[in-house]
Amino acid sequence: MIILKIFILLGIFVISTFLGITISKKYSTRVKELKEFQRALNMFEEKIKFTYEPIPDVFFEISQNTSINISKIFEEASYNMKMMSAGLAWEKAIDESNTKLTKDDKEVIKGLAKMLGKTDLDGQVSEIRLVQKFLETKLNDAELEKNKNEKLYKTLGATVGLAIVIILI
Amino acid sequence: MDIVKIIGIGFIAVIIIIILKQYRPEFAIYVSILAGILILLIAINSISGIVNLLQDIANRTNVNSEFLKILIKITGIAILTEFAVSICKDSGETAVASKIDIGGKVIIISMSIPIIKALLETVLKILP
Amino acid sequence: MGIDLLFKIAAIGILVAVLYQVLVRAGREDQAMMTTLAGLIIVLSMVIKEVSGLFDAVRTMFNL
Repeated sequence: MIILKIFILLGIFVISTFLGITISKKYSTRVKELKEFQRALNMFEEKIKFTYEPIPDVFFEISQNTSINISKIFEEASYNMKMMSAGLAWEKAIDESNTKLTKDDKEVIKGLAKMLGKTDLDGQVSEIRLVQKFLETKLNDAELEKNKNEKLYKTLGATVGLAIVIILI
Repeated sequence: MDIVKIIGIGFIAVIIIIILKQYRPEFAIYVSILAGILILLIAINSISGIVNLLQDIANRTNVNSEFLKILIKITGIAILTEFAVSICKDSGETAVASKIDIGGKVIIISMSIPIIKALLETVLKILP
Repeated sequence: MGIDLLFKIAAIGILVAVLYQVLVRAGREDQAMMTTLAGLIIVLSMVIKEVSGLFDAVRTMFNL
């Protein structure tokens, strides 16, 4: 009976700590993903400037060179482009992705959809630059939020768990 | 060894209070209340022996047992009021403490009316 | 009942202090206030039981 009690209390503590870490991870993952996205857009810009490959191929190559969540977006988009217009495919890929990016971030990234495959090279490049600039501010935001909230949620999870355990003892 | 228990509880409570006072003074009061309760509970356990002894002596010397009962009740009230008063004083509320004190005193006097009455009657009897 | 309740209150007090610090650092003063209040109420509910226990003991001992 006592062993069961200790086990349950330990479980509560571990779960709440884990919950706190998971919530705090959300913030650092968002920063990471935004950085990764910037890198991907840089690559995209270089590629369409110098190689003149069709966009699906470019996207596929980018997806090979980025990390998991972001690469999935690009892969999905390059796959979707075989069936629909580039802009729609891009939006759909972003909507279906499960990243930790916020809605605002996604709106900014979706801004790319308007020009994909529609304007000429210079237009595309300037559009990418614009999105990059927006992403920069978003990245700063995310960085600030991360500094503020990451430690908070980690401590909060552990202490709340401890408090529940102490009250239940 | 009840005294060891009492001293241990007292010391532990003091240490906890000193630690807690820096961060959250509100919790320190709870700890002091609880320590008082624990110590009083331990002390009360051994009071029954004293009460029995008193009753025994009263029976042997033909003292009115009603009086003894009142006396014991008054002791209980005094302990409880003292407990409450010291907690209030600890928290810095001397006004409330003095009011509890007054209440306890009034109740004790009102309970001891039969004793006072008996005393006065004996005095009257002795007087010519 | 006993000395472990004393330690429990001490632990809750320290935890509430830590929570308060963390929440204030993160700029959530109102939530910090709420946690303090919740801690106080929880401890109060534990102490009240003991107080009534003491009163019962005194009452039976001195036949009040």
